[in-house]
Amino acid sequence: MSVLDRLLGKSPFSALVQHTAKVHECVELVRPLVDALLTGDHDKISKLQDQMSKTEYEADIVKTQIRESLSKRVFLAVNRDDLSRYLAYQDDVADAAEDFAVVLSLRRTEVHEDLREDLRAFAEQVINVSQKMLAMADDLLVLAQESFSGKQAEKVLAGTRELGEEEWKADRLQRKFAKHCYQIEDKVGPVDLIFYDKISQTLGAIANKAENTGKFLHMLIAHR
Amino acid sequence: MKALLSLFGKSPFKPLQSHMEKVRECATRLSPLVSAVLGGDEETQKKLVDEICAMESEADKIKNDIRSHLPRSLFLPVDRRDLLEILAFQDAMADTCQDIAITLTLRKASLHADLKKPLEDLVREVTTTCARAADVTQELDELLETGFGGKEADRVLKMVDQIDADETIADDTAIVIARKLFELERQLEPVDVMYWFHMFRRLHELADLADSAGNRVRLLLAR
Repeated sequence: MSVLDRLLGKSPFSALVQHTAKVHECVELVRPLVDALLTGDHDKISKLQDQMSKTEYEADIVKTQIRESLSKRVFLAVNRDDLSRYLAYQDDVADAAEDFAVVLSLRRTEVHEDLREDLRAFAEQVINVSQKMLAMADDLLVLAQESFSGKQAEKVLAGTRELGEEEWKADRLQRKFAKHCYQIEDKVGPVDLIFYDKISQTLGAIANKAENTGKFLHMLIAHR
Repeated sequence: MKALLSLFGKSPFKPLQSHMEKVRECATRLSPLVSAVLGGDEETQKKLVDEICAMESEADKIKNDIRSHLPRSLFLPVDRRDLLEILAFQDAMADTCQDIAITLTLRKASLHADLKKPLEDLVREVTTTCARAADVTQELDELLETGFGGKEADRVLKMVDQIDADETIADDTAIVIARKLFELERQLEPVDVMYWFHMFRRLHELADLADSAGNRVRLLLAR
């Protein structure tokens, strides 16, 4: 390694995208989790929850490695606190996904037939939001490679706005699901009903946290 | 300058530390409060809830004091944002303690015998996590003297690792107790089920907040 390499190191942004990819892997697990919930396969939920903790832990390792490499680096194109914070925002997304898995694993909840389609659509949209977050991180990597020049910065900013729009769609589907739950409240048990709400809240939280990541990035770039 | 420094005493961390000590006072009362609730000792319950509310309100006063005076201080050894973030987590800890305490005494919910021991375990683990976070805040002074590096920094990092470990234990207990609750669901009143589920979640959140407060200190060191 040359002296210059040691000073500058490898770009922390490729590692950052690795972290985003791990976080998105957690969110992708929402799909099989919802499938298992709808088929009432509690063993499958339990297995997927283990897989979720494992993936979340892997994301944590990537995060710690990046933070440690940041503290040893002498020169960095960006503020290391900002990078650290960005990681914390992405970390919140993985935590929210894990929380969703935990909630499903706590109780054998049967989802009423009428609600299934709405829940599936809502879950798919939450995964879309996270997909956007991943695309945004990819664009950010290109931006870093092009030393933060104008056009690419615009692209990243546009990405953060698209992320916001996807989250808005997820919000709408969340409200639709919630409304539907209360329309059939006479057909289900009280604890079931409250659990539908819990499922809805924890699922929606994943999309909210992903949006927060986008908002933070927008703030970083727009106010540079 | 002297007038500014006198606002904070010797270090800007002093008020933050007094704030955290109030939080610790709130948290340590949760275990006896739970015992009093399970034992139906209403007098002790009232006394403890009153004390927790009083501590929380003292903590709020300190918090407001820090928030209104901190921006005026020109020379801080750490990023002002970091300090305010730690304060925000500490504040959330105090609020959550108070909320748990009040909710515990709002209604006479009966707790299934099988859940008593796990609840006591959970409360103990959560308050241990809080106490460790308070210990870390108390180290900020020492850290300042050593410039946030060296052996003292290593020592504090180990303390924060321990908070992470404690939080994981509390996490697992919270999951186990919730699963047990839902196994017993058919024998219980639905409102009792949701009441205790909410309570377990709040306790778990308190441990989470303590962990976050500790991990912000990690950010001060990682430079």
